[in-house]
Amino acid sequence: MPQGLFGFPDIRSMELVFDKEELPFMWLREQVQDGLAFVVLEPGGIVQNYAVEISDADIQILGISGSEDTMILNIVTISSEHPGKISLNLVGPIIVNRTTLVAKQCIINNHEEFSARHMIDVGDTEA
Amino acid sequence: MLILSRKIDQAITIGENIEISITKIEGDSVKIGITAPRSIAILRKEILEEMQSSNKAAAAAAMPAKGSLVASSAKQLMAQLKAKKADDRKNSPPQPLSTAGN
Repeated sequence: MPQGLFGFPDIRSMELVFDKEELPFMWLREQVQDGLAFVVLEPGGIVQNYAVEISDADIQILGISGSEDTMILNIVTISSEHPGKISLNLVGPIIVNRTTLVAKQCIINNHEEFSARHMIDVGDTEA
Repeated sequence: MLILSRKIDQAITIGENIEISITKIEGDSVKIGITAPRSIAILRKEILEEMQSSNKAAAAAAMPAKGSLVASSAKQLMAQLKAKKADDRKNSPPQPLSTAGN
């Protein structure tokens, strides 16, 4: 993660972990105690008509050539006041090169088509 | 900060290969043309700021205590997706793989 994340420019490395119970949500977290953590998900099958266009510069940094070696992760915000509504950042996905595991949060070129706070109503949660 | 006065169609250059020109002035808004190598990221600043604040909000919300919240949101979301898939199947039955007679 050579350039960190927006707002967290010093983060260089995070791990992606998941619990079967929580899928499709996964955790992207720093490998330290009480480090930074995000809930993320892969948008495939969840966000309709989501397409990501990223700049040549980003493609170069990531070293990706096509969708086969690429993973897209959208950061999820789960509000504790409204646990039934989650919000996805579709404008700034984290793109991962599956082979080299180089990752970068990219602002997509087609950002005007998508929301940085794409709401999904998941209904009442029991928590 | 360096502040320069420019008229319409006048430009400034930054370094060897970045040029910024004023193309239109309308009321309180200015159209700016930028020529730069593709490797230079050009962003509206408010988008960058939105990403920063969105990341901070997401990180703050993702406290370890939220584990159970994630699990229950996940359950709900999966149930919804399953219901939707079942719905889609109902509305458009799968096409046969091959037609008889071939």
